Amino acid sequence: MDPPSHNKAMVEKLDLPFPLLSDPRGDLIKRLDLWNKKEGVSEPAVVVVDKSGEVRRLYSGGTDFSDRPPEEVLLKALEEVGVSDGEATEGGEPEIRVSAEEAERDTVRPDKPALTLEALGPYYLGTYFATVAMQQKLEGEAKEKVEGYQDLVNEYNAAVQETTEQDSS
Amino acid sequence: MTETNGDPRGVRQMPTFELPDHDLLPFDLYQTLREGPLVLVFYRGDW
Repeated sequence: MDPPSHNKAMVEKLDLPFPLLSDPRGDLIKRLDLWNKKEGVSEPAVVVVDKSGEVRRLYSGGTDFSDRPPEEVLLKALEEVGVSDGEATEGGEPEIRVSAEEAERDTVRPDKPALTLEALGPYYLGTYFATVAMQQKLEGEAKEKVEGYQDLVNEYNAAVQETTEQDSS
Repeated sequence: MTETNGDPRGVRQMPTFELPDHDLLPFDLYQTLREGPLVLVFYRGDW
């Protein structure tokens, strides 16, 4: 939902090896029913699409911005799609089309500054300790969920550290 | 968490779309799919 200029800064900050797209008004997001009306942003979601454009899997965290699928869930879904690859189809004229100018101008996302790479380390460390504290107070399904978050935080934190080291070398 | 397999919220086939990437280049879903399957990650914005 961010304009391309913000996305470019993000790609450079995190050394991302994939493109970041802008859906400034949420046209595609709404079409997929992933719009969080209350906050005016996208739900956190992962969509696995095969070669024919068929949606093979969709994982959404709903209104919980911290709910993301762990790596192994994604890798498994990708493996399945890789094995039974569909036939490529001609999409034709795009139903949803946004120009770079519109994306830069029309973003409806609330204007919030991004965390710097330096701030991300302490942020995830704080989050990690919060999960440790909650783990001790919870039981059953809630405890399992917190453990899932803890694994995610550890994955993210390791990625941030790796990026920081790459940037400084 | 909501996970669906095959029929996510009634959307079986991705709509055709063209959205600009971070280098202002148009990204066309179906053109890109010719190279193989892909994963689309939706997120709320800068983090």
